[in-house]
Amino acid sequence: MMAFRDILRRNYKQVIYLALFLSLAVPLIYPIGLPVPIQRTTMGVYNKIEGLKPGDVAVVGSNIGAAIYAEVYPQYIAILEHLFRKDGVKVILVGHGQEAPIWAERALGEINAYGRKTYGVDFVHLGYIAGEEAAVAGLCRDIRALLKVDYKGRALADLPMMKNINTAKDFTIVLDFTASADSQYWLNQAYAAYGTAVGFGLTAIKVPDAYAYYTAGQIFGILESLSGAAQYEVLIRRPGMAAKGMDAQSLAHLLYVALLVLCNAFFIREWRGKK
Amino acid sequence: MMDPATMLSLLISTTLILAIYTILYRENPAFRIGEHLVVGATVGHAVVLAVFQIRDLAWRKVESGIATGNIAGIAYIIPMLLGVFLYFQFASKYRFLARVSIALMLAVGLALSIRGLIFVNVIGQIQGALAPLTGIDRIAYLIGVVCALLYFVYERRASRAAGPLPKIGRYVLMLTMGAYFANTIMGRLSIVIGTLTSLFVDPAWYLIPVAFLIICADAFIRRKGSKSEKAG
Repeated sequence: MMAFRDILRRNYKQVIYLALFLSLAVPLIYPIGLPVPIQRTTMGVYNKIEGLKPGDVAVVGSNIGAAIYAEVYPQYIAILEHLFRKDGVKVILVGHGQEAPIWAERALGEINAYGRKTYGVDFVHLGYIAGEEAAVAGLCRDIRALLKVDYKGRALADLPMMKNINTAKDFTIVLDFTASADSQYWLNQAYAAYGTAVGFGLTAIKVPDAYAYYTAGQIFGILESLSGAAQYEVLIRRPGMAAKGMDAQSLAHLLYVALLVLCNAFFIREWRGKK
Repeated sequence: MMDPATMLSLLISTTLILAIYTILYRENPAFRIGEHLVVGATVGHAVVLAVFQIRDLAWRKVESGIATGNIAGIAYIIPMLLGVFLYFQFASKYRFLARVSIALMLAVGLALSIRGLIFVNVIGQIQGALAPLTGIDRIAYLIGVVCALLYFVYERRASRAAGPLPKIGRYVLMLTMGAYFANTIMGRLSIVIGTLTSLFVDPAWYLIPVAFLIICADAFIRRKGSKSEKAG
């Protein structure tokens, strides 16, 4: 017992890391199947997409990169899957992060977009547009003035889908997937200037910021980190990486709470002992 | 059956992920190699993309402008020059040139965002707070906004007149920060889960026990070394 306490005292960090690893790894290998409750914010996004009609245009912006892919990429795939199930809905993918087009192409491959829909008729990938908010403003004001070609160099004029899409007025919804302030760009440039409905898929740390906009009715919904993605996977009945990870996340949260209680109990005991 | 190229890339990525995670044990050369490779690859990718962007968005337009005599195309030389000016930040004699570019960037950024920012962050938020009080969440939202704003009233008499409301505002702010912190933890965990999900695939997961064994062996050797040092 003394030896164990000695190990804990000297290597407590490593012990915590090991416990955390186990709490995450075990449910990933042997899933428990804990229920995934659906939040209002997720339902907001789902209902909006569910309500899209043939001919509506959905712009899917992203700043996904290696650093945030674990949180946002599962959301991105779930949303694209849902959009591609809707007949006649036109999807425009655009990146305002340098790595975004790579992840967009990977996601399109994962949902077999090129096999089930026609490129240029049902969806278009515009690629990365440099210039941060100026790029989003340009895209909302006049797409053709900003871009002449798509991600793979095909002229926009040759893509039938883009014939009647010129400004943000032609976008029915915008969904942006990001970890940084660039979600604000779409609010500033598409929602404020053209009244386009905007929703977000965000990393957990950005969620409290976005709640202010959600509560004020400025955005129609938020997908919150991996849990938002898991909820969406459940809603569209396509369980994937996120739904699988929710058991692990719940167990890790329990571990955190247990550690908080334990550490405080130890602290109080030692403090009383000293007294 | 996985093709050899995919398997190789999977094994390399798994090795690098595990190398990065060894920092949880202690600082070591495997972590350093992994860290440098990640930074190098990210910077390399960013530089290549930046060069392509300059080529596609400006250089080609200047080229075609010169070829056709189109002034609008040739004018793209101006933003390119302004971009070059930014590097004069490092030369004290010509630093004023960098300031021109920075001032222009700030002005354009501000002009673009100010309209939306006011509409979204000021007018929209006030409208949101004054929306009909249809439910408990709306009432809580309104009380939270008012109390949090009152917390930042530093005029003594006004603050005193507000009674306990600024204190409630302080608790609202603390709750918000707690939500931020809890979300940060959730986000970090999601990243680890995403990484582990990519590790728990065949044949990548075979490398996990190997990494554990190496760490255990290192810990054992170090412990033995420190014991013999003490004995010596």
